[in-house]
Amino acid sequence: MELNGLDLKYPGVLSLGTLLAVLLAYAVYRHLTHRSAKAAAAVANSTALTELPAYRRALRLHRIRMAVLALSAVLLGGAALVGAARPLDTTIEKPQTRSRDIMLCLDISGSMAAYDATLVATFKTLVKNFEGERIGLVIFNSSAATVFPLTDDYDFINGELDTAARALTGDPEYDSFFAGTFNGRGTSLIGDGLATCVSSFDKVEVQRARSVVFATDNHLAGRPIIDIDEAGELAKVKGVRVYGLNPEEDGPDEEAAELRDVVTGTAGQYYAMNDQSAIKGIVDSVQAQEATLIDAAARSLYSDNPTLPIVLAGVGLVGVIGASRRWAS
Amino acid sequence: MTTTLLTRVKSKLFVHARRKSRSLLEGEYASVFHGRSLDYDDLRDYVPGDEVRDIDWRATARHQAPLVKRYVATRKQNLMLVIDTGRGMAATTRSGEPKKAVAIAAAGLVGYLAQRHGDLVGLVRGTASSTVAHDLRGTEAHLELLLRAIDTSTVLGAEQSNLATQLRWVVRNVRRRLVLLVVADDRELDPALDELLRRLHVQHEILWLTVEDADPTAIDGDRTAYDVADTYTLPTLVRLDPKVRQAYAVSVAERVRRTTELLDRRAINHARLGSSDEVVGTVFGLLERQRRARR
Repeated sequence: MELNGLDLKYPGVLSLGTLLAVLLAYAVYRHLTHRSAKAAAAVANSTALTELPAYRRALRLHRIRMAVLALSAVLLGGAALVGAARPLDTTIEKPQTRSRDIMLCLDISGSMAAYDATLVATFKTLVKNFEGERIGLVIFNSSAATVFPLTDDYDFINGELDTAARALTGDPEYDSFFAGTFNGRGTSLIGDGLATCVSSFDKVEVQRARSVVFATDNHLAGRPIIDIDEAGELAKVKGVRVYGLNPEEDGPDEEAAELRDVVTGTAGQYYAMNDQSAIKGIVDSVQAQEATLIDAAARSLYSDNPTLPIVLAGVGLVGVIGASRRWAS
Repeated sequence: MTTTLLTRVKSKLFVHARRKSRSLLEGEYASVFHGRSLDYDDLRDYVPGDEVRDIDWRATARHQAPLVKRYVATRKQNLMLVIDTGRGMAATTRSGEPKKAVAIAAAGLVGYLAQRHGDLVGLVRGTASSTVAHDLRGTEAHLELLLRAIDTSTVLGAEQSNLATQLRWVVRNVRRRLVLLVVADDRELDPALDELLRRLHVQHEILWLTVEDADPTAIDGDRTAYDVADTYTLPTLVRLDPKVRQAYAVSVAERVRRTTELLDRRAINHARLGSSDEVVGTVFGLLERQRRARR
């Protein structure tokens, strides 16, 4: 991030306002001189007055006062104009952050019940490693439900993940957490879950790095609308990488192999949960993927910055009020 | 020409006559500038202001009221109005009128009294750089002409004021004895002028009237005040400053005191005028003092 000085949102206000101010000042001047020409008293021998020390002192004070008044008025007017033109702080931001969307996708079917709490803990560790990314959470059993959509509010994300952890350890108070996940035919419809996750990304027209961390044992128990291969194809079409995280891999397993195929087919990677390098691998892979995308376009962020004009206008106002006080003192 | 300047002077006199008898003022003038001869003319009723020694006591004893002897004036007085017509006199006086209005009222009044008395009235007027003299004559029409000449020549575009120029002219050009009515601008009398007064006083009889300037510290704030000499506008807030006002009042009082001292030292009878309404009363007081001074 770099600060790029003061810009104005409406620079036209400045020139137009200055023009108007000059015209106004001229009109006031004309009015005053016109009026004084009408009601002027001719006096003779005023040197008797103007040579008095008291007069000279008062005149000096008067001139200082008028100068302060004029300066303050110009300051007030100028600051007001600049304020009206809305000074902006321009920040040029390189979109390194907030450019990645990661959807966490958790299978909560019965076969996964033993692992889910651990998986949520893994997600939390993952989230800790992603700083600035948008992260969402979708859980699925016979149907998929979005726990929270893509967001970069990390306090919220952590809060939701804590809630998920409690719900998944069997806390009855959190039963509502699972609402909406039993609407399909059968349980553990892996393909439907993955398809939902892949379809949960917003701003599809914008090219962003999209990843799904897909935690499942790929243990299908029912008839999904979309099978996992089709879901994999969908991910490929949408440019979404799927990272598989299998908690139940023990040796060569047909389901695991299928998952591995689908995952690698989307340019993602496959990890077993007990693999210590899983988290680091996913994080590195996601960030490596970004490296090709970030340099695209630096964008400018504009934010109103009225502090300086307001302060100057305040000083000007104080000056105007102070200097235009009558000779009361 | 609806009203002549002299008519205005007379109407002032008429208005004033409700308080003081008009003939009182005439009597005052006559007793100051009596051109008394030994040729007895007739008797008339005494009016206040007449010389007490002119009362014919025998005739009065026979009559119910005091009678005054009237003599045939053999010697006419020559009244010369010496008027400053510089631009300083076109400025404002204390009452808000132009100073020249006061000057015309005063010159007109004394001139009228003189003319009624049968004296000749002339005029020396001018600015710092030039002087114009008018003949001595004894008609009302001539007096009106003189007043008109003062009125038309005293304008804001005229030259600066300097009465010393006119007084010097009188010193150089007048041989005979005159009664000088000097109507002066309100300014410090410098030593050069003092010297001129010393010389003039030997030859002439001098009445001195100062037309006061408006007080710039008393002119309302909704009007601007500028000096006629250089059109410098006095900043309103500065001239209305109470401290400035106070200091100015002190300095004016000081200047008036100095002027008074100077004229008193030269034994010149003088008065200050700030309004044409004061003219009759002030001129009366001036003549009164002049009469006493001559005793």
